[in-house]
Amino acid sequence: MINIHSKWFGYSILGILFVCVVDLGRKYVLDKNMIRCDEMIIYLAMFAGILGFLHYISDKKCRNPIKIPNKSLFYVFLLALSVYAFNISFTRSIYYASDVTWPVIMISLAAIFIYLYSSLFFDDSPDFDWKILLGVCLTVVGLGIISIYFKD
Amino acid sequence: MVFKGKWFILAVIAMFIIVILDAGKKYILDLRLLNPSELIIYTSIGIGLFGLLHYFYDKKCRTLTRFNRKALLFLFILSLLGYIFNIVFVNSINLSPDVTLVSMVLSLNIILIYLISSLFFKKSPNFNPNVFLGLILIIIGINIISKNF
Repeated sequence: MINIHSKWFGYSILGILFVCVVDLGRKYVLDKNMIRCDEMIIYLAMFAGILGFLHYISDKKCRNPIKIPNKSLFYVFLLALSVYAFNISFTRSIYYASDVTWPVIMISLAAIFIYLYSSLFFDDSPDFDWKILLGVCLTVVGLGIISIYFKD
Repeated sequence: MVFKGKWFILAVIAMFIIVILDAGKKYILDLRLLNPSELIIYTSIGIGLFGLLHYFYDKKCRTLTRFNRKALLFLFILSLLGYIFNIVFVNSINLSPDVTLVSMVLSLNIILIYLISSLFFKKSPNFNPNVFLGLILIIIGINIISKNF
């Protein structure tokens, strides 16, 4: 059972609120044709970079890139590249979808693959459990119902 | 059938990318290659650099001075909230025993997003109780997982 008093759970709940506002906000701006899809991807990324730089200046404990091992920096580079690729796919997806909920549903399926990957390959993660996989698969039934009843 | 078309293909691609992303972040934090703040800072700076490269590459991209103030304000607020989300998310996966748990809790956002978009967004389809039932089933599946974890 998840401990709802744990710190990580509190952060996750907070994350729900932020992800809702960000996803709905993106769709709102795109629907109103205030900005093109690619412009949104570009400027959100650039603003994120500026915020990251400000965070770097204000955080005294943050190590200089020279003091970080090359392996770690390489991983960060790959992560940044992945985030950018994700932003391109996701922003275009919500632009083309009639409702922002559908791309978000698809993204939530990532939990299934993340579970499989982390339980099988990560040492710190709990071992693979068929009951959990069953629960994960049940969510797919919900998706099936949505796809049957949804009328655009 | 709602799950088809361009948006669907892009969402599936985004789904696989987010698997790599979330698992990658947890991997870096578990091995203590970087602390959560460093991970947030350097990925954000990296994203900013990719954004800058994209800006030079995309000839159709307007300069910021050509946007109206409302669009600029929305962009700024969205990026700020996205950055705060990043801080919250990285700390959450750092503290949780498994990165899956965080993704599962976050997937609850579907309900809020569906309610708000179907009730308040003019271009979105109207609220449908059957679709909402499907969403609830998804959440039940997630709860089964959490009880067996």
